[in-house]
Parts: sequence; C-alpha cells; structure tokens
Amino acid sequence: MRQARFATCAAILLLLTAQAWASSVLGLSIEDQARLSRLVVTGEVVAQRGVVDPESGVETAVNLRVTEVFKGDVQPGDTIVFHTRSGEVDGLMSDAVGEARLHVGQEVLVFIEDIDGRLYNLGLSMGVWNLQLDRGGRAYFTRALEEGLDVVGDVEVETGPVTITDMARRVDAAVRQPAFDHPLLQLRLAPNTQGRR
Amino acid sequence: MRAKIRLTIAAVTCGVAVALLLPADVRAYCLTGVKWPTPPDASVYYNSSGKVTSGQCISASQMDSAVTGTIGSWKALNYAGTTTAKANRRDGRNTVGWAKLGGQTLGVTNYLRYGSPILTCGANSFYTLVEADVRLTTFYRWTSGSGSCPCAAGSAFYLNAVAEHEYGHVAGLCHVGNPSSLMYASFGACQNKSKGSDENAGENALCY
Repeated sequence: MRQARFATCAAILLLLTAQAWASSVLGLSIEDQARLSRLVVTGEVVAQRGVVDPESGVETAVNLRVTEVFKGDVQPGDTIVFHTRSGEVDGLMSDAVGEARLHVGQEVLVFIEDIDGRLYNLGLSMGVWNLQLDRGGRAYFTRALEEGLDVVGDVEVETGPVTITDMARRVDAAVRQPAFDHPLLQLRLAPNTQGRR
Repeated sequence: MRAKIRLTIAAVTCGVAVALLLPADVRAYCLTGVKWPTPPDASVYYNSSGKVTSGQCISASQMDSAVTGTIGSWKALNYAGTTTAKANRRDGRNTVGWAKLGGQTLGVTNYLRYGSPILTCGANSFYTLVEADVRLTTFYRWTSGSGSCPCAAGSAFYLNAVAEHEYGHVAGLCHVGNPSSLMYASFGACQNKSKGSDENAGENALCY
C-alpha cells in the first residue's frame, strides 16, 4: 500500500517536472500545418538514434517506414529520416521541452518540414499525431502533444480524434488552397519554401 | 537501507507534488519543481551569431539588448556576457542563441537536471537545475520595447517579452492563468509584457 502511494507520488512528480520549462510554438490549424510541411505521412518508427548536428546540436534521427502519403514526394514503403530536437549521444541527454517522444514500433502521422535540406517534425510535438483504433477497429489520429509547450496566438489547438479520411481531405484541401489561415504566419521574414508539394 | 532511501525519495516527491498540485490559475505564480542552487546565480551567456537583422522592426543592437536585457531581471540568473558557445550543447554553459527552428516554433529550451541533490526552500523540495539552453527563431519578425509595433515592415513579436518569459521558465516558474501576467502561456503579435508582482512572488517562493 505504502509503495503504491509512493509510486503514485513519483508518477505525479514525473508528470509535473516534465513541465519544467517551455518551448514556444504557434497554435496553427491542421491546414496551416499542412501548408508549412513538405511531407505529411503516416508510418511506423522502425529505428531511431541520437546524432550530433554541427548547427543544431544533439538530436534524434528517426527512421519512419511510410504507410500512407497525404502530402509530398514519397511512396508507401519508403523509409524516410526526420529529426527531433531532443536526443541522447554517448549517455549525454538533451531534452527539448515539448518535443515528441517516439519509440520503435509506434505508428504515427507526422507533419515534416524541410530546414536547409534537413527534415524535422513541424512545431515539436505539435506536428506528431498518434494512430489509434476505436472499439470498432476504425483508425483515427490524436495529437501526441507533450507537456511544456507555450502556444502563441488565439487558435485553439485541435487534439483529435480525427479520422484518416478527414485528415486526408483536410490536408489535400490545404495543399490546393495555399493561402495561410493564421495572421501570425504573415510575421515570417521569408516566404515559405517548405510547403512545396 | 534500500527501503529507507525509497522512503526519503518518496517523501521529497510528495512534498514537491503537493506544492504543485494547486491549479495555476488560482495562484499568482506556479513552481515547476526545479530550481537553481543559490548562491551562486546561474550565469547565462548570449551567442548572437545566426541572428537575422533584415526585415526586423528593430536594429541588430536593439535585438541583442532585448535578448540580454531581461536575463538579470530574474534573481536567480545573471547575464555573463557574450559567447561563441552554441545553444543546445551540453557544455556546462547556459546559452541563449539563434536557430532555424522552422515554420511553427518560436523558441526551444533544452535542459539538464539531476534527480539529486534535492534543494529545499521553505516546505518545498526541488530538483537541482544543471544547465539550460534557449534557442530563438530566426524565421519571424521581432520588435522590442525600444521599437514600435506594428512597424513599417508589419506586426511582430516582442523579443524582450518572449525572452523574459522563457527566462522565467529557466528560473523555475511555470504558467499561470492570468492573461496579464508575464508567465501566461499564450501571447500574440504586438503584445508586450514584463516581469511583475506575480513573478516576484514566485521568485520569493523559490528562495532566490
């Protein structure tokens, strides 16, 4: 009993300390996220490893075997590599607050942007959705938000569930209508070069 | 012996958890459960490389001032000068710098903390902060208190406010529900804020 109580307290603390600091992202619609992304794909995480980028520091390179393509020039069956902004190299941990936490075997939908030729999930964990099944066996997405994100702007962040059909329809509609919904995106200094189809 | 250690850890854990369980919106401040050891204060360095100066509402020097000017407003932090060290290196140096963070991210904080030693302050216990690095985006337009908003180039985010907010997290504060507080989670374009009585109370609760 006492151990159970201790375990509960430890779990609470772990939950709370995960919010230790925050990273800041724009609160965006699915459509605007799709417009900013070079790739929008579902897939299975088949491998990941910590890497050190000369510019960005410690990151994780995630190998994703693509199962469905909503946007971008890849095919189902391809394996793509994108990066998260946390990682572990030689026992050295670097945790980016609010970044997605993935594991091998996880099935996800990822909005992926291209920064100077290097692929990243868009907006830390804001760009990653878990693929889940309801009781009837129907697949849907829920956003895989991690704690500690400051959301900038007045858009209420949509967390799902969103069906695969709806997600595909909305991403496709966004690609056909490239004008951004959110006025804060007008504050970007450079025109978007990441959303090419 | 093992049971005794587990008991100690659990007691500390529960102490912090209880301190944090109150909803943020009913208090003037919110503690995350971590703090810097004091003294000494945590030294924060600034690497200005990679900063984009064109298209901004403020000059390059005003950008630098906006980033560094609010570090010292937090009792636990002090501005230690410029550095060539890069943010997001586990190098023992707390660094704020610029980075290409993509289309949706304004700032990222990477951190390092240990599970021990435990620091106490009043009735609360805290994990010890070891290092924190902050990266700010080069993708978006910035202004500051010494500039205007909107400016001729358009609307912008207040760099001094965003930076001071992030340093509040670095100091050990989390979000509150009062939209006028610096530590409110959300802010918009041309919205300037600065540290006030809520944040001062939070610092006192951290024994800084």
